[in-house]
Amino acid sequence: MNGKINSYLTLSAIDGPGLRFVVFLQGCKLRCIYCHNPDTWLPDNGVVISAVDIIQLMSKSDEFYRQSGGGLTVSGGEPFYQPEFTAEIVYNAKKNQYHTAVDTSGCELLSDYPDIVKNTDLFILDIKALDNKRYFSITGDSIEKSIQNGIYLSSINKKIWLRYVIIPGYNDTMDEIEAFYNAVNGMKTVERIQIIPYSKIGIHKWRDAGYISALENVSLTPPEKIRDFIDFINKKAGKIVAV
Amino acid sequence: MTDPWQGFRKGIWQNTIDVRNFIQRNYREYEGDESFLAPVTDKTKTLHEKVVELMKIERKKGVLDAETTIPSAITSHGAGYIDKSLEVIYGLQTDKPLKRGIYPRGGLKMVQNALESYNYTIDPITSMIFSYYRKTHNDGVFDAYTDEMKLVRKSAILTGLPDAYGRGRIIGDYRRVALYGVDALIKDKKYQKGLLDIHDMDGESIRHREELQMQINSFDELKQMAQCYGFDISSPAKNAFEAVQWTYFGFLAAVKEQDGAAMSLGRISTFLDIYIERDLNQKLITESDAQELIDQLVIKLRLVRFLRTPEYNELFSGDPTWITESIGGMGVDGRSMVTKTSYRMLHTLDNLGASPEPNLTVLWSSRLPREFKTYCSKVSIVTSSIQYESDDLMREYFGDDYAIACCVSAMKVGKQMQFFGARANLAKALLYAINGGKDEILNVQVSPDFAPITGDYLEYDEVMSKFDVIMEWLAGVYIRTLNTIHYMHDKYCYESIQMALHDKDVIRTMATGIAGLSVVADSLSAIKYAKVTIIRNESGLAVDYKIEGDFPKFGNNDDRVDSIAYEMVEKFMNKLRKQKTYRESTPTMSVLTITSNVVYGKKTGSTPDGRKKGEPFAPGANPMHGRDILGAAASLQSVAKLPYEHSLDGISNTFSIVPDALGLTQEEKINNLASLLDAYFKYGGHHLNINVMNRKTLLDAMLHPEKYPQLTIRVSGYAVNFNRLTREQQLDVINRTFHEGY
Repeated sequence: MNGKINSYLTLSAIDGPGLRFVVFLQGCKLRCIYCHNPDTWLPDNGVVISAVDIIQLMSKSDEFYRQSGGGLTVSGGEPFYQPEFTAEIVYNAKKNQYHTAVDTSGCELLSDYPDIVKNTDLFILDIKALDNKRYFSITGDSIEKSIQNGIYLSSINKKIWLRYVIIPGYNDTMDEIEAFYNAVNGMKTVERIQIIPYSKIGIHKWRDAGYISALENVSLTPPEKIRDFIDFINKKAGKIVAV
Repeated sequence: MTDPWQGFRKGIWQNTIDVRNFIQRNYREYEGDESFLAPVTDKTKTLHEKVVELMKIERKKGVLDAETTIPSAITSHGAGYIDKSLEVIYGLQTDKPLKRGIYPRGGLKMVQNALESYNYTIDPITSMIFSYYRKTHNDGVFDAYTDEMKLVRKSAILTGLPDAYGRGRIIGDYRRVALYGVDALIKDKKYQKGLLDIHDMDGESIRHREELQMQINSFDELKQMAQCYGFDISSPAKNAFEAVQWTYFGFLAAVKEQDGAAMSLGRISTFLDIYIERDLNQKLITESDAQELIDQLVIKLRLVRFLRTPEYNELFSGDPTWITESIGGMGVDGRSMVTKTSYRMLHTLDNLGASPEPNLTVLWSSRLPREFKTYCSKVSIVTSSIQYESDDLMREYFGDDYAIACCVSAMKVGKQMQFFGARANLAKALLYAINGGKDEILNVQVSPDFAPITGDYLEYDEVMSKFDVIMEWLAGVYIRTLNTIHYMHDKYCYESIQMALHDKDVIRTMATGIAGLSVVADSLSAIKYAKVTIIRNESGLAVDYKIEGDFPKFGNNDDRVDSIAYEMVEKFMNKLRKQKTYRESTPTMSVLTITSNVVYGKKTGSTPDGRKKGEPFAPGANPMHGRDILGAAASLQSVAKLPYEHSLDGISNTFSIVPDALGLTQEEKINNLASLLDAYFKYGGHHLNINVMNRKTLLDAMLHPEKYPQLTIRVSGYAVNFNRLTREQQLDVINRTFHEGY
């Protein structure tokens, strides 16, 4: 089947293990204030392509992924915005013996999509906030399922990498980090926690897409503070690596 | 006297000059990690600090000191020291560290201009001798150049030709000095000369006999040179120290005799390892002693200097000497040639800090020991000072005792040399095809007159057929020019000591090169897939282009354009193959620019790919910056497709990535980089420079060079100190594609 993608990247070393092919799907229902790909929001944009063609494009650079224990990462946009398409991409990737990862905001209940979960080796889950009010202020959406999703994935033994974006003035206190850690502590299959300081690297895309970023004038969280957060989690979490 | 070869495994190397056989019989591969390595000794550290101080002053002044009277030769200067009490390996080019010698045999003008630009004046008698009594290579070349050759030189469709100084890119087998001692080498050369006592003595055999005698004489001088440091090198080296010192003396003689464009070292690490292992086993030395020998050797290599004009430095950035040392690779018997001294050599980057010299080159094979790959990757991430070349590709052509001269030129050590031919500007050639052979900047007819394109748009078939005519002409005048240069170089500036460290009958290649390949590929792609309108000036010359529509660009693993690049390489090489070459050398070609991509761009008008007049080319075989939009794998694969069999002198690619994009943890970064190299070379890539650094660091280094005295970055085939780049080159490096992967 066909779906809509924003773009693809033939080499990423940070979206899952090893070297990876990343496909960015078009469309997302959230409007996260720190989004670095706002050009992927609207479903009308993007390019139509089939899942089989994506795998075909990927296999052109096969050696990179196989040599490194890497594989395919479906990102976006939001992969669950086009769930059938995502299911077919990971299905075809598995058919070709690629490691698969899905990078999601966690805005949908993963247990509702067994076809995707079945063929995905790793979920990269974005934990945006822990209470509804904060979640709304960050995403513009009222439902929060990411914790639920993490617990579900743990229960079926799926590997998880968690991402937590530090947004200056929103969630950059040690209390918030502690609360975050306590919330995810029970997820047994978490391999890694990424503490990602908000950066303005994608802010030009907001302007290009005709949006105004709420974080345009924010001053960035100092690196020492980020280091403290990472150290805190590493100290508490044992084998989980925070980076 | 003890037998210097005691403990070595016997082989044919004992009866004939055959260093490879000695290495293969005696080296022990090492598959472990780097944990055995020793830190820098206090003595070496103190010495290195002194050297760094001197270099600081040198950087401020341009040159620290220069000879103005005595032309450099193997025995021209007596012993020179930095601080004798701290030195372990001895020998300087002149009587003082960083004092530059003069090499007027290559060309007097170069010496005069270079001295003057640093406020020195050549001694009038020296000047008189080389003006009236001793003809130079440069004079010879210009006596014989045709008008056409002078014109292609002036218009810069041929650039960087070695017609005013030493040609370089010749590697003496310096290991022979250590393994055999000089007397045995002299005996062998005398025997060779005897073989040429023949009835039909024609010009070629007379020349050969003369050359052999010059080689013998240079060996005598080499012995004298060593003698002035208190060493008798007539016999083989007896231990690790002597092996390093003898080998270095061989190399030192070469850089005293020649200011060649690239004076590479060869492949000495694994050879030296055999001596080091022998001494370690007998407990004669410790690991710290072993590392000290290599560190001290490397300090000496970092001190090698030639006197160049500021224009030369603008072309190549700083003081390049291309003392390339090739490390690792596989033996044809399937054993890895990585030894502990391969590690020790790379470890100098840690003990002494990053540096462009020596130009450390890892011969990469998918079968190299995992631990070694990991170590290389680790050192690359920290220092950005290593280049990688595919041993799996080169071993097929050159066996397992080849080395890299300069950046990417493989040659069998002691058996093969090349006539260095710099490069032709292929992007300019394309503009000549459009303008009927008229130079777009000088507005003069350079090639023989032929009909320019007169339509409003560029048509692919028309451009290609005219481009073919231009390439045919260019290949001819290019080889004829090189024939002239190398005839004169052999005659007036022969490399006696380097050729003395070769076999009697050497394989010679005529090593041409091209610049601007990605500009040409993208231009032809634009012409084929988009609509390109010609913009002409008042005299009817095509000077700019308007492109409507999109077109495939080199660097995105897209066969529509990658095949054009492939075809251009093959096509130009086939035209070169048709030419008659000096001394029956075999024509080869490289896709390499070093840092001259900036200067080439400056001298080339706007091109049909959208590049504006004066803008830099991409370095080497790199895609044009910002056009490889699908990420690193696609970018690397486009370059890997280029046919090595038609570019046997090397295909250079430079890869820059920010550290955070290589992986989330240090371990992942290391593994990912090693995997990236494996994959690139599996796809047929030949060469890759690895830079791991932030754009931000480079911008900061532009503003505060004092904070980054040793900041080294890799450019096409070579490493440079970032502070020594011109501002334009610094900006070019910063603007180049950094893979950020978000």
